[in-house]
Amino acid sequence: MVPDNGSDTQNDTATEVDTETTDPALDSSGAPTSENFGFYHREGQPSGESVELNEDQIAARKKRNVAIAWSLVAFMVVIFLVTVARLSQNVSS
Amino acid sequence: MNQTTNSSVHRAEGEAVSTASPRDYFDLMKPRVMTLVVFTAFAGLIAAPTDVDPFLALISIISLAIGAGAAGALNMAYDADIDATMKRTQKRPVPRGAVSISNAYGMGLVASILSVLMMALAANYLAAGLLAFSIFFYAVIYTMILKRSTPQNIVIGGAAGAFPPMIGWVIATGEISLDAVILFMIIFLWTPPHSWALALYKSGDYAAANVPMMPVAKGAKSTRLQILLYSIVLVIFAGAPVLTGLGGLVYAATSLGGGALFLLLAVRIYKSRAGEAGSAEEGALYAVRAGDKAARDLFAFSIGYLTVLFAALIVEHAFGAYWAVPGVNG
Repeated sequence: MVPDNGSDTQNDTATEVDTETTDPALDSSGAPTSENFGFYHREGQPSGESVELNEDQIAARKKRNVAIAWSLVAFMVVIFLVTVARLSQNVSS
Repeated sequence: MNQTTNSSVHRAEGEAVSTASPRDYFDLMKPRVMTLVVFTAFAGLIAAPTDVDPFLALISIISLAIGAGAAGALNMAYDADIDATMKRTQKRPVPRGAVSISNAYGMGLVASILSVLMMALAANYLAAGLLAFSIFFYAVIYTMILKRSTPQNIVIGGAAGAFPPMIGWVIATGEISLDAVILFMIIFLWTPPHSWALALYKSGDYAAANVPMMPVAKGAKSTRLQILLYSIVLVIFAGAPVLTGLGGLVYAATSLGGGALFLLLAVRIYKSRAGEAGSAEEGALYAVRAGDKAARDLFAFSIGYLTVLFAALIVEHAFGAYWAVPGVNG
């Protein structure tokens, strides 16, 4: 029993070590590995960023994203309204 | 240590990330060209003898503007090397480094597809087909093939810019008629003297970029003669709408007065030594050396001439100012 318990304890410890060292996101020193596609880990969580952007780049990206979002919304609204206009034309004719 | 190294690498990569604003992408679409496209297309739409739903007409014109802008973006993507060399175009978004070539291509292709789809939905398949063809003609035939290979680039490529009034007409009627072809031909014939006048006083720019524009390939004297010849044909042809009844008194008077001034400026260029002084010192569109003023004046006036010509059609057909010309279409 005692050796078994000791063995279990050793196995548990080995498992914990394995989990830390085989994490595909981090190397042995805790830095991001290339297998992680360069994604950062901040406080143990993936940030989703492959590069570190400065404030100007973040602001520019936000503006572009907003512009694309509005463009998509406008496109959907236009398609909807054109469809309604076309349908009403067909119905009236 | 590794983390520090990786951070440095990622920070370095981050420096290459775009800071382009939506305005940079809008500039890719050549807004000034879009304005002229919208204006001439609107004239074609208004002059057509068929009423069209105002909302669908608006969406169709917007589609056309987006399509023209998409062609402009594709042009800027392909011509990034030329634009970087020429003073006049160095500040465009791609050579300035604000927008990457691949992003310009991406935007151009997406906008092309969406604009043609919208045109097909809002107008008709013929208008959508013409829009698709004009984008293809400008981006592929003119930009990728003709521009770098022949001094006739602008003559043949000018067809791309001549489509908008025809498309406007087709949006309303669903068919291509003689009047639509006449509107097409007016812009087609207007393009060479307009573009060559600019090329005359920016010839150094084109030569530096190895673009075989007429003044670079055939010389200034030959270009001045061809400007005069094309101007004569243009001014005569601009009277054609009066003969078919498309243009009334207002158009006839505008065409006559504007045409006379156009010819006067073309003769002035022919007699000048424009294009022989080399390139302008400044990169601005209207910056010019003393000897090239005649070319700059015709370039500037040609824009006004086309605008007034199509404005006359709009005034006649949209505001009830159409009076038939006695003895011609009366």
